[in-house]
Amino acid sequence: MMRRFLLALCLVVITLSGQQLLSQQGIGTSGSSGAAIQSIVDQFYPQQLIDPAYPSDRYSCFAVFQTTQDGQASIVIANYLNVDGAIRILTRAANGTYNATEGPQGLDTSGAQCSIELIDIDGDGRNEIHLSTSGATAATSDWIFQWDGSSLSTLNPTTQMGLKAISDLGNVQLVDLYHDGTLAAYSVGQYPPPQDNRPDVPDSVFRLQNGRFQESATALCLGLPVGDPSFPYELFFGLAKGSTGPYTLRVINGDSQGNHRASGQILLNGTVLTTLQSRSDAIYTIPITLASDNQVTVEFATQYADSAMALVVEDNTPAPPAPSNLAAISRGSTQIDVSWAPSASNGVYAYHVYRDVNPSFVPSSVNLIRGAQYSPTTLRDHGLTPSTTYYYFVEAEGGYGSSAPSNEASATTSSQAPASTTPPSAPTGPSVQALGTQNNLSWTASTTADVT
Amino acid sequence: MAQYKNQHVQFIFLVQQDGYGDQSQGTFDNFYITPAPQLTATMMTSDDHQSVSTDDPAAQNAYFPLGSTFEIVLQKFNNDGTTADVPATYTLDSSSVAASLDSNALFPNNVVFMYGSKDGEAAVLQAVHTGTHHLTITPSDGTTNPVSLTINVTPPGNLGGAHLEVDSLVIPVADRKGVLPQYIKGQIEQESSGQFLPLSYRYEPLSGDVGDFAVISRGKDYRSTTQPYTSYRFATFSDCEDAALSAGVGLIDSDVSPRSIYKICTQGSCHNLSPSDNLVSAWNIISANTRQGWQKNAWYRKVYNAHQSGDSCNYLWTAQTSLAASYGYMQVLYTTAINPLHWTGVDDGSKNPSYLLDSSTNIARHGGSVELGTSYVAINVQKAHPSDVASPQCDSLSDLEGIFEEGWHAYNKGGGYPRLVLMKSYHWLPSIQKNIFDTLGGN
Repeated sequence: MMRRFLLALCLVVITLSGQQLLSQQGIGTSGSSGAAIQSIVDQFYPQQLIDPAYPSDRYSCFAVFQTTQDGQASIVIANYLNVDGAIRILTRAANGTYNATEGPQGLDTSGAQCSIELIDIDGDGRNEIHLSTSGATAATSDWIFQWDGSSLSTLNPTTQMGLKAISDLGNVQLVDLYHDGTLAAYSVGQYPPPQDNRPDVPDSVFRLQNGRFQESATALCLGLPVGDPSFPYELFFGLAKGSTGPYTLRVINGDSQGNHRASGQILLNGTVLTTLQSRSDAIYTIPITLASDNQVTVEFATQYADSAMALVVEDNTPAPPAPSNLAAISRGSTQIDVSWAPSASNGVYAYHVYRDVNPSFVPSSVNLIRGAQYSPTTLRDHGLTPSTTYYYFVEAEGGYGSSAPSNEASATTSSQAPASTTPPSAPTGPSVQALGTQNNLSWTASTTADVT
Repeated sequence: MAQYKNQHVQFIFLVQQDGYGDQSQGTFDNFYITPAPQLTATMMTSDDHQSVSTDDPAAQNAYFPLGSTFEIVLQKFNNDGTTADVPATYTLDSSSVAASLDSNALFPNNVVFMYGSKDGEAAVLQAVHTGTHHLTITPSDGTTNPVSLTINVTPPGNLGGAHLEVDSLVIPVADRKGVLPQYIKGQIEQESSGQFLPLSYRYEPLSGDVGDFAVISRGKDYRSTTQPYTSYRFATFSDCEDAALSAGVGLIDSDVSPRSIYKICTQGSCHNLSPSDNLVSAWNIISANTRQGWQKNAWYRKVYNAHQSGDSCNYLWTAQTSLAASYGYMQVLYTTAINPLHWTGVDDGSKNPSYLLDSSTNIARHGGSVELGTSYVAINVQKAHPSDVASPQCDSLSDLEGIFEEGWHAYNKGGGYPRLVLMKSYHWLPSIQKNIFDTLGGN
């Protein structure tokens, strides 16, 4: 599995002009227009929609766009807590009334605080909607919506959590990292970062591909220069959990056409890694070796305001190897003991055990019998059906994903069935026959077939 | 007659007297005496298991630690010594919760709850509060007697094998709120970067001082009129929006001193902040402490750009490091403690930010972060799953984990946070009793 992380050291956010469907006129609830806009928003988010158990949670944020000449907002984008699919666009009709367009349903856009900004992400001259919400901490969850004039769609990837989908983007900067005229989302995996800047979850870079954000790189830190070449910019970071490399450093220098490159040098842990002006190309890669704690120092200068630089470290740390020597032994009619050799990777924290009655089955949540917390390398599987062959796979789960399945193992439970729920028929005709010094006890057998 | 094994079997010999004085004698071949059925308890996260004969008085009580996930199964013995699970119905009856639960406690009616179906070969149970809960196992075949078991959930001896110093703080909170103790300890590990620092402190500019979420600085009501913020604010200088203000009357040295972990640099010389450093700007701190990783966040870019362009209105204002900061094991933000958690302060009602640190003194005065941080998780779990909290319907431990992941997501909106907390909770699984089945209290 290829993993990459990124150091972006000098970033210039491109502002594109052109026809904009949404033009930002104001944001927020404060100011002289705040009460009037709040009144408009309240028409669509009445108090009774708010969870009565938590009335104080009626936080909202909204943005106002395209105000009309009479000063009335024509488009309001609003987000409320505790309302499913809370993101809505409120548009003002010619008669002064407002109509609501619902955003996608089932999204967790809730948050104790939120903000909305408009920003052109895909470089088409139209603004997208960036909604940012926070919870108990300063960390944010970020949503990117696109408004085509009649409907809202989501550009960011999501993960289903419980009944709602959450955004995979958190604590994002939207920046032109690749100088291609579109904004990548640099998503901080963990905020605040650990105090030693050694992340458990590396940051991620998402890029627009086929109209949606998809993860394109795994990152460990992102920084901005202080701007004065006499004070070299320093970044500190550690390896991601389970990360072993190898790594390459991808340098992207210059403006969006590869011109206006900065000069200077990049040092890794005190050693000069590369001299910027020594390279004739704007984008290139360098093999590097990382320690557990790393310091990148950048000394550079540029006379161009549109110079930009990004460093992307590609991490080729593989997923953990599959567990081996999986074995299954029958322990009677309803039990099978399963064991395996652990995966040879320090980053493994759990094993997923799968069972099915069909050989060569595909491991899935349907046949998962142990997961998440399960760390032993043995398992007594019981509650099984007698005289049945069961097949097993085990996968190792680590910081860099899940391994391939182990070898398949199987065992067959014995035929001795648990007790029938129907007692056998009674034996009949017991009799005792005296034979000399002993008596013979005899009876006619039960007619039930499986009496043993 | 395997079906009769483990049952009371009575043979009756009828000897007819034929008048010759014969003696009676019977011979039995291939007749086995098998043990009574057994109860087997298996810890679902470790595969540790213990068994006890249903004839044993110890089979009347089973002891499990708070937070544990375990399986109970009734098993018969086969003639060859192996066991077979007995199809049965498992029913939880009356419960008695020992702890005095908080008003926002999860699973208030359960000491344990059962995952999935009650019918089958086993019951998988989750311990969520200390106390007792009665389990009846009714075999389906009628040839094995029903089994009555009292499940006793007790405080675990320890959570994992390290940082035991937090266990006595975590376990009672877990009990009162229905949040598994390993979840709380896992969250503490996550929030403290694995260092378990009770006095951990972090300036959180985004939470209050900077950017779109600012609630404390620059033109905000919290800065000048809203209690308790005004009592504990730093003195401010005049900026482009606000006039100077004096320090809050409640501000004490212990509110100020935590910020000494940060440096400021003036005229090329840097030093750690001291109490005598007044009128320190947010930019002073942000620009001189790059190891904090603040530069990763969107607000940093806005402030940085303002600094570069000389737009002092948008980067130069007084840092309210006491108010815009997170505290203690759980890194509870002061703004979160005040609203939405409505912190009532320590015993005398004082709401100094530093009382959120988990010092023994603060905890003795009912301050600290663990109670508040766990409340936030519990409240958000309850909001997301009110029916599950009242009557748990989880099919598996994974389902329960999913419910709590929603609570952790509300706590920290970063995409990886719920998974990180969950993974770390595995480090702190409750220790199991030496004897699960016991007449002496599970020791």
